[in-house]
Amino acid sequence: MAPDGLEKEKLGRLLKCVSCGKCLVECPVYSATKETRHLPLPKSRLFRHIFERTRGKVARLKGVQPIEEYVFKRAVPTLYECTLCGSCTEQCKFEVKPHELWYDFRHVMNALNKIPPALKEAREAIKNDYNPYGMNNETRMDWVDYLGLEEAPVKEKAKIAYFVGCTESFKSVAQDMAYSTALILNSLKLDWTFLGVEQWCCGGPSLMIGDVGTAKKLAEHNVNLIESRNVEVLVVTCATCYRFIKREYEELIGRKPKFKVMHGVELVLKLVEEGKIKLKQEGEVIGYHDPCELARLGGVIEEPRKILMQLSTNYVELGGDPGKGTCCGGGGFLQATNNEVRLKVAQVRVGQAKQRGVEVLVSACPSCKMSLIDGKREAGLNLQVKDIMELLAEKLNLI
Amino acid sequence: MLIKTITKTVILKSRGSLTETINSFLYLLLEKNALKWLLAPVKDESGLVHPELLSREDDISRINTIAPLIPGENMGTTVSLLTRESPLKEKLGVILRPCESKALVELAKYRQISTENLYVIGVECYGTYHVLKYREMLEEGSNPSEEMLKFFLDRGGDGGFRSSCLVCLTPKPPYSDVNICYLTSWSAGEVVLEIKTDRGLELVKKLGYEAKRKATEGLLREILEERRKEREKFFADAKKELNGVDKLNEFFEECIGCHNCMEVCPICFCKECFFDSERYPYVTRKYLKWRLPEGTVLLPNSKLQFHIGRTIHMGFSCIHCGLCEQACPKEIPLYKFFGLTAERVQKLFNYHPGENLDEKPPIQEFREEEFQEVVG
Ligand code: SF4
Ligand code: SF4
Ligand code: SF4
Repeated sequence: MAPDGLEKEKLGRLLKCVSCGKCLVECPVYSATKETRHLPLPKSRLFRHIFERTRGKVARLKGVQPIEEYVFKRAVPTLYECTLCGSCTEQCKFEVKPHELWYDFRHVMNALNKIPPALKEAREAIKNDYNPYGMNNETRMDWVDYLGLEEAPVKEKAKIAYFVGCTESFKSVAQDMAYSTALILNSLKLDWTFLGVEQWCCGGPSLMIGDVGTAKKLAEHNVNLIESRNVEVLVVTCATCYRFIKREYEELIGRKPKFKVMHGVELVLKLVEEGKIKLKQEGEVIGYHDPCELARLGGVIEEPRKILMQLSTNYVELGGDPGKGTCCGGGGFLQATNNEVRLKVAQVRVGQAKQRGVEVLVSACPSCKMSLIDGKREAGLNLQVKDIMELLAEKLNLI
Repeated sequence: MLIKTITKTVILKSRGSLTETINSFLYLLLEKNALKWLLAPVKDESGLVHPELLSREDDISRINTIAPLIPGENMGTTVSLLTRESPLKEKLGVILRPCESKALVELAKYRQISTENLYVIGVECYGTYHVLKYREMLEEGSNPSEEMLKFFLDRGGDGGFRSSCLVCLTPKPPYSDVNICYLTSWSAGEVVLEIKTDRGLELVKKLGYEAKRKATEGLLREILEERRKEREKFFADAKKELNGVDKLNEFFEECIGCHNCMEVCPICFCKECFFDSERYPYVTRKYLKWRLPEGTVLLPNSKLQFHIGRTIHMGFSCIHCGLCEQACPKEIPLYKFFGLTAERVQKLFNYHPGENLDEKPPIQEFREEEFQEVVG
């Protein structure tokens, strides 16, 4: 029997690869480690091996063949020591969409129960507790008390809902982001609400683990919850939540959700342009790190730049075209699989910022913030790392 | 197994286009049950070709044997995937270009291919395009197969072919049961099947074809003469360009160490390359760590070590398909290096990779009398 997730139609793309190698050049993990197992093509070659033996040419000629243990052994470091940043897909001219194949590959590995132990833990945590950290979901809003947020609406109905991602809810480094966003929403006197402890993980992490079933369940739950509160605009501050809700939910639940999804930066920019928020330029050297899920994969590239240019006279790009920058190492569950590798990737990114004289390195995603902080610490570099929502709350004198 | 070379031919009269004429033969192979399966290049909706396994006559019209392209994998490698672990139980015909058939022969010598129930149907080849160029041609609306045929008749210039094709001396697969030939005959509306083995003869007889004696081909011989000169010049220039460590380091300066040249090489069949293994990069990795956070670099000599190590491993059997060059994302003209080193070592040992299953690779055979000037 061929494993779940190896649908032939989907994987036609795998066989379209012409081995031109273009996808290899910008892979951030390989660039940081120079270990060939981290490159994209070793992943697709292993995947093809599995595919050919279970559904492809070998299977057709000789019947389904068992997958050798060495294949799984090798697949673990190559497939999971990857940030799912999508750089490979950006380079590919042959519509292979390699990084999307990694999702399919992870799906297959999960169906065969061959995933790394740390991911198994996370998978079970999401299934049981509705967040990847294994925290009691009833404590999802506890940060409100820790940080002393005075106004924390959880309403039956509201125009805007703020979807606080699991990382912003449970990780102390990232809670500031939620706090700052809430302060901004409060200061504008908008009709908004938190989703409260009924909110579940967005499902992105489940897809990254390859647990498509759970991702569907989470998506359905969240969509019903959000729609039941008559929400028109869902605001998110995590790049992963953003892309999954905006770009994957429709396929997961089989219909278009009835609300609009906006990242915090999109909302803020809109309000700036409507004159409801006034920003003031100062002189610090600010650099912006594009979260892969928000920029390369989510298409939100100009908005944060427009905001930062109104906050600083010294905004700098970190090199390369906007939106196509190097990954920070924070994606794809790399931290759980191999944190050493993640730290290498993060150091390269922080190093690029430092070389350009950046004083405040800004991003728009909790995973990026955590990676960049860990990277600068590891490299012993001196610069500030902030999320854009925090920076905004500060500049608006809300903190 | 190549039993004996028979030089008989079958003439196929035009059935419309060149592909249709060739496919009429392939169709009969399945219809008359001469073969159970065909592994052939099949056209996809974008116009590129990919190897596919076919068993139904209805699928034959999708085959395009003449598309001047090797899309990423030498089909010798594909055959290895299918027969490496166990011989075939049913008859499979594989449609191969010359350098693919040569890869098959070398892989069989290293026991990476079992030839049981395997029928090699060779296709003449005048040259192929780099896959990126091929894609560009499609985008510009031109037809690469027609361009290739036009270039065969006009000659002059390089036709935009890959460098290894421009100096290739085997427009026909040396090892095969039947060769599909059209280069010189298609202008007169004919495709010629050259029957090379008893098995080949058996096949065409099953189809009801009549085999005649073979005619000689003047034009192809003339072209080979030109190519031989080109080849000498190409390698003489390469030798000058790559002479010495400094020049080699310069040549490989852009290399990112991705090993894709090795991955696509049909001769590099090892399950795990030493240069990808945990053992190899031990020392350099230490240096790399110190370089963080500016980003890691590859030290020039470590790149060179890989390429020299690789050519030492596969150079004997390199079948000059040039896929390494097509696979290099940094567009380093790799065939100059791998082709040159292979050509020289093959000349030294008077070895002809890919031509004959019985000719043992130098590395499989010890000859006492060899290299007396070195060992004597
Ligand atoms: S860029 Fe695309 S076609 Fe080229 S090797 Fe990578 S996945 Fe294959
Ligand atoms: S998704 Fe990113 S990290 Fe993963 S293989 Fe592709 S380029 Fe490398
Ligand atoms: S394919 Fe090109 S860049 Fe990659 S290792 Fe070979 S020579 Fe270097």
